[in-house]
Amino acid sequence: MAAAEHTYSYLAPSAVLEAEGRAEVSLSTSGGRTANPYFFTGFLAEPRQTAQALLVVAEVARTRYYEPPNMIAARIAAADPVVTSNLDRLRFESFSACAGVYARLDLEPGVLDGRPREWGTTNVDFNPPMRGALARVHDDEAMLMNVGHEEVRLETLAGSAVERKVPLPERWLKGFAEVQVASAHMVLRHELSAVEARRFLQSLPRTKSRSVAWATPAGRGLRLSARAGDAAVCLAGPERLRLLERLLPFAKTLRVYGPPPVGDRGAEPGVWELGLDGARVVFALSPELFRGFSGEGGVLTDLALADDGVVEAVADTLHGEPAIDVEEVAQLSGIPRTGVQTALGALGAAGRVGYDLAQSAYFHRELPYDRQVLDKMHPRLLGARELVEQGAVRLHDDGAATVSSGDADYLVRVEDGVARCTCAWFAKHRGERGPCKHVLAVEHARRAARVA
Amino acid sequence: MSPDLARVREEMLTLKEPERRKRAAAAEKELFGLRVKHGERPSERWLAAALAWVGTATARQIAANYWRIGAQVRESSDLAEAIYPVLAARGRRFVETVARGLLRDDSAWWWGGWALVRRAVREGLIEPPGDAYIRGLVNGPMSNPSDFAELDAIYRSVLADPGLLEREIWQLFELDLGNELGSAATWQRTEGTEHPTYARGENRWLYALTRLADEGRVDRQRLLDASLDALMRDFRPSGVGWYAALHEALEPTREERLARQDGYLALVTSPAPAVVKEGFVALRELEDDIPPEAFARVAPTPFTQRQKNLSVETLSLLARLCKRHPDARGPLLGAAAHALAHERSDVQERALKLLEQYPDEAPRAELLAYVDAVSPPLRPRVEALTGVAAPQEPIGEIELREPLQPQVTLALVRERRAPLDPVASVDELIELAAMLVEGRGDGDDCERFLDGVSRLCDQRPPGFERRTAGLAKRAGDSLGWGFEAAGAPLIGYVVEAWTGRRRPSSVGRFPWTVIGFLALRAEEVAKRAARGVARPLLALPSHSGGWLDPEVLSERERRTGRFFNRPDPGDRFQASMRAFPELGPLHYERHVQVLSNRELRLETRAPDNLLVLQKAVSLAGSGSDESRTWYGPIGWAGVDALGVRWALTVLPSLPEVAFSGAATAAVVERDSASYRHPEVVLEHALDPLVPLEREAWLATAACLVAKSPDLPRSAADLIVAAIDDGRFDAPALGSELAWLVDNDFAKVNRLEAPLRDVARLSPLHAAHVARTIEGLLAQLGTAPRGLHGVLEVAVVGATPIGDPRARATLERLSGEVSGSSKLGRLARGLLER
Repeated sequence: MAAAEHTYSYLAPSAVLEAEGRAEVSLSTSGGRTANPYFFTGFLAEPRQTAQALLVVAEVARTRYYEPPNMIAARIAAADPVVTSNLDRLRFESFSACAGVYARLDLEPGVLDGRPREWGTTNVDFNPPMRGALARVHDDEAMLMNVGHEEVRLETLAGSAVERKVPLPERWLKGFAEVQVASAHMVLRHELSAVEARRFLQSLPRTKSRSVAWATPAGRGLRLSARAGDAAVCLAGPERLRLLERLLPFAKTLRVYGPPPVGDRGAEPGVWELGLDGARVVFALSPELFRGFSGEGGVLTDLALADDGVVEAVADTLHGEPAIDVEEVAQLSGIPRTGVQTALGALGAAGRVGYDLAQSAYFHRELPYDRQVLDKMHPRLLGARELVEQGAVRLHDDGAATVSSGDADYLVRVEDGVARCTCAWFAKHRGERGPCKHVLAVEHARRAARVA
Repeated sequence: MSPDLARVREEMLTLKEPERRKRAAAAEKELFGLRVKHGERPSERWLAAALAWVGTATARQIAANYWRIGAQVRESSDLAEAIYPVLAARGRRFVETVARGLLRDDSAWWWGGWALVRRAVREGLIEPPGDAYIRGLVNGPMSNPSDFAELDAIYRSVLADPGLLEREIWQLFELDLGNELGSAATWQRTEGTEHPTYARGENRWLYALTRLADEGRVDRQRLLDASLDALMRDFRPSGVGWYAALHEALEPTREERLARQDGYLALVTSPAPAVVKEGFVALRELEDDIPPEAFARVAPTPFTQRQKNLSVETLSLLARLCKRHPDARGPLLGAAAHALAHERSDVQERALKLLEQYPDEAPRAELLAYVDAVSPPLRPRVEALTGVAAPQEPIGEIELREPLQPQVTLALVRERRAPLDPVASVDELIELAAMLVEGRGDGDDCERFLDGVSRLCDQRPPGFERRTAGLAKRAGDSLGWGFEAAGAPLIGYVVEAWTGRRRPSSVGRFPWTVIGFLALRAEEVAKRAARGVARPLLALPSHSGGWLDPEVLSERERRTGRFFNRPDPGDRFQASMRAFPELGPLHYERHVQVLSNRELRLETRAPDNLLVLQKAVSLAGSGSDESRTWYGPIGWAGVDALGVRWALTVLPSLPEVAFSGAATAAVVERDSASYRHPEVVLEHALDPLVPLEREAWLATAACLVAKSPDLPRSAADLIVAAIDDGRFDAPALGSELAWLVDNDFAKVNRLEAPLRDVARLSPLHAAHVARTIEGLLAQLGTAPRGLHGVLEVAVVGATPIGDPRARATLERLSGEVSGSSKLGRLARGLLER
């Protein structure tokens, strides 16, 4: 598994200083538009809720929900959470080591007593003493939060600069980026009250299960079922959601998002959004416990169709928007609306925008990792391009195509609007994890034929 | 120190690194070539070789192979004294690398690795190498295996290395080490038994720290603060109990507790139940001094915990504070109102009782939010407190009808089952085969594939080899040990013979199972496919679910010959089993087989005309040795889900075979993961055309009480579907549950969650669940632990218990247990309905 080494360089360790009935949370930053950005200083409403929610996000980053049987030792060091300043709000994101759970805490304008100073995305340090201190924050004290520091303030912080090197496997980076694209194809399926949310989350099994469960309406709440009914939302590895139990004392609602139900349903990703006072905690779960987001391939068609020039033109119009207005970007860039949408999908796959289901819109954030690595993360796409370059695709008059790859030929044909292939990838996943490289190669070849 | 060891030591201390490198291979060969017999002291030569190896190997080699010499280093003080200076002579960075490597292995302390690192830290050679060093401290100070039986082993080790008291001891409270510390117990061998057993004794660290505090060697106040602080960190909930135990073991005085009152109040808001419990332990001691408003602020949090005891504890304290502080009743009762959202109706009832004591001060506005949350029988009491009757959806009279099972006739199948199309082309066959080899698809797909290969195996269109190359490779990969006992590999086996024209091996290893019968049929097709002899199958189902229209079968039979083009025997038999044969009922008898896992045996009298499958049917519900292989039981339908789905199409008119197989699998694997896929059979039973008779309810009951969460989920789905389509038989399910409970096959507390899930769907579902519990009570011969949880679910059903046998059981139960116990109160409550 290829891994890019990422270096975190913090000017000082993050810390919580408690004095005079005030908890001052100072989060150190690393990377992004500048080496150590300074986004925000201000008081937060709901101190305990915010502290607990930050701990939940940090916990996801430290957790491996699935350990492959033959890879017990293949642990990756915990990657630090990422914070995005979207001009009016802060978003803390993390991704589990197994690449199957994505968590985000959105601190909305109402909970911040001021606006962030600038936009951007950076890593934040969540060291153990800092987590210990966060766990002690209670509602009787005011909570001041600094995301980044002014140079002068650094003198008051204890500790020296922190530098940590962490290998980030490509599949982790790719999954982190791709979870946004999966979210963009979802709709609101259920909304539960605080009481029902509590009952449902507390009913989740404690033991790990490899089979896929479906959250199905039961009275006013949900129950887990083995059946994918029309109203059901996939919840694979339900125990992964149990971390949200920590936030139950603050929960107002639980919103459940999933792809619109179509035909025979296999395992699907799902998004679970716990509404708090002025904040939201979002968990996106991969379709199966042992399956990370990295292989979903939901964006491959978009990427295959996206024009690099258009993608960059759309990217140039973005400056930390909390909700990207497609119309506005289309006007600014002079690109048609559909082109902007395709480009946003491509940007999402490269970790350059995120998706906020509550707002049904992308938000601007560029993951603070090596762009070159993020751009080269789609082996199926690269494989498809290689096949086209080798002339391995033969288009037939009846709409089918034969793709020669290695010592085998694969037949690609379209049935009921769905491209099917005779390769093992398609047989195994039946299109649920995006098209295989043979289907992508045929799409490339068809586009080239049309242009010619 | 022996002359050899002293000489090697002197030599190693003076060597330069390049010279060490040159000698490394020889030193390693010398050491690894020598053996130390178990229980004997190592020879002088071995000791010298070990030291030479430490003096010449790389840091990584030393870290990775330290286990080879660790035990001897522990035993021989001469060697231990010689090794450290040799290592130190190789430089700080070298020792740092060795230390990091040693601590990477969690068992480094066992080989004395931690002791070596500790010495380097103590002597200032290296900085403490991270969290692993502190983690190693938990067991590291113990210097030999006999220390494990000694309660004061840690205490003595710490006294021998007092530097640990300055820094390292306190770091035990900053890292999440509760599980490791909790496991640091003494183990005492129990003599007098045939096989030695070990009993867990007291905790060595608790003993050491409390004794050190008593003797004034560590700061008691700091220890109290550190343990309290650890409870407030985000440590794993499973491990924090040790910190709570230490805090209590220090026996804080009232004054010491008072000084930490805010901390105890904060514990109550922890997400970890063990921490909340510790908070209450401390607050109970301070009850007179707890500021009521402060407690009211933290009290709603424990109600969001699943554990009922925490809510009960909170309500009790609120009740006492209400009595003591009349002025603060407003906020205290406001906090109590949150308990109405708890899932357990007895918690809700306790909260209501408290609120009803002070009706004038009850927080009406807050209570209104919980009217819908409380269980239906309690709703009028909440409404009485608020003075507002919440609008209720009108509930019609619930009619529990007798179950109606479908009679599957040819006409019904023709009307309700989708016709099955045969595979039309080689390309379609390749795609179907690729899907099945991956374990996807259903039994009908398997049959279409088998028929497709059988019919089209003589066709080799241009490019066939290249088009099937990928498929053939995947098929080959699937054929591992015991492939005959699973569906997907059996498909792969046919694919290999078809695409490669290779004569297949025999797969008749398990002819007495249904999957074995399918393997024989696969072999028939594979043999012909290898020779390119094409022939349509007689047995291809005409309708989904494995059904074969007898008219279609007659038509197919007309096209076969008696000598040439003659159907294979397995194919002919399979066809007859699908074409609505007059099979007659199966008769099952149950036995509990006394094996180590108390297997369930179902003895069957199968219909006489089942011929080939007679034994397979009779073994379907058996834990018989005949269905076992060296890698475990293969069950009635193999070990993969596709095999079970395929097997379901073999005897479509005898679903009891599948249900008995599923019941046995669920019972045998009741406390572990289920590898023989009983859930597939229950999913099949969701189809309203599958009749649900006695064996079906046994399978459902067995799945309801299984540990693996997948099985209760599938069972609950079947109950819901059967209630919806009228097949549900509550007394039958209750009776099977009682049989499992009475025979010690079921932990009754596992029933609560799935039954509660079903009951929440609608009043009709709740009534059916209550009837099921009534059926259970009617047949129950014992009073199992955890029954009160099930009775609570029955309370939600809101229907009176009418069955006199169930009433008799309830009366017996209420007589056997204390009247104030949960079980006693619930039993009485149900009787009084």
